[in-house]
Amino acid sequence: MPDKIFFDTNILVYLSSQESPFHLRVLEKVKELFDKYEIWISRQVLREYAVVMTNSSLLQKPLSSDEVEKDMEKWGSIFRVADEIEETTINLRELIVLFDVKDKNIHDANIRATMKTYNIERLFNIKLKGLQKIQRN
Amino acid sequence: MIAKKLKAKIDKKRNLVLHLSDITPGEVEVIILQEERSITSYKNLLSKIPKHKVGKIQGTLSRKEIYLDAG
Repeated sequence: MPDKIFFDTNILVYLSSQESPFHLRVLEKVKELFDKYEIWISRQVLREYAVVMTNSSLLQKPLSSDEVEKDMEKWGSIFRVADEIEETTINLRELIVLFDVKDKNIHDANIRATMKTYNIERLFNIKLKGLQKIQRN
Repeated sequence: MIAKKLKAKIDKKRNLVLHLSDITPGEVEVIILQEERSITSYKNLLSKIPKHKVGKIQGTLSRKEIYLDAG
């Protein structure tokens, strides 16, 4: 059974945004990772993707509600989607206490808590400030 | 209930091929356990990745930006 890897929200954004300078680099990396790993995302990632792709402060030409809803369906059909379960909340509580996680960093910690729930040790992300802080400790 | 772990093949017609030499004839319960496999091929993945021209992406897409309060 292949190892698992978790794709964070910005990877999905760069994958679908053809004009992004990261688009081709991320696409090449995905091809490499696809052969080695089982690719996972989570409900949180799908939700955040929808937030970013419809946000006119973040994108010059944001998607419509219909467009983003179709995208969410597509991502769910090509990657495994982790649900947040009771164990995820227990993992999150542990991380919050262990690393004194606060404020918006709790959203990052929840990604780590979800990964732990599904025994996923690898994360693919362009920027991981929040998670790096947790993993270094 | 008596449990016995066996390995069996499923043929092209999707029949379970299993010869049980040491089990007496009669009804048995079968539980199918299957390893999870990749749910798509790479070609299929490429065809399903959403493609958009959304222009320039502002910022780094950190969660602090994603969850930035409106207004």
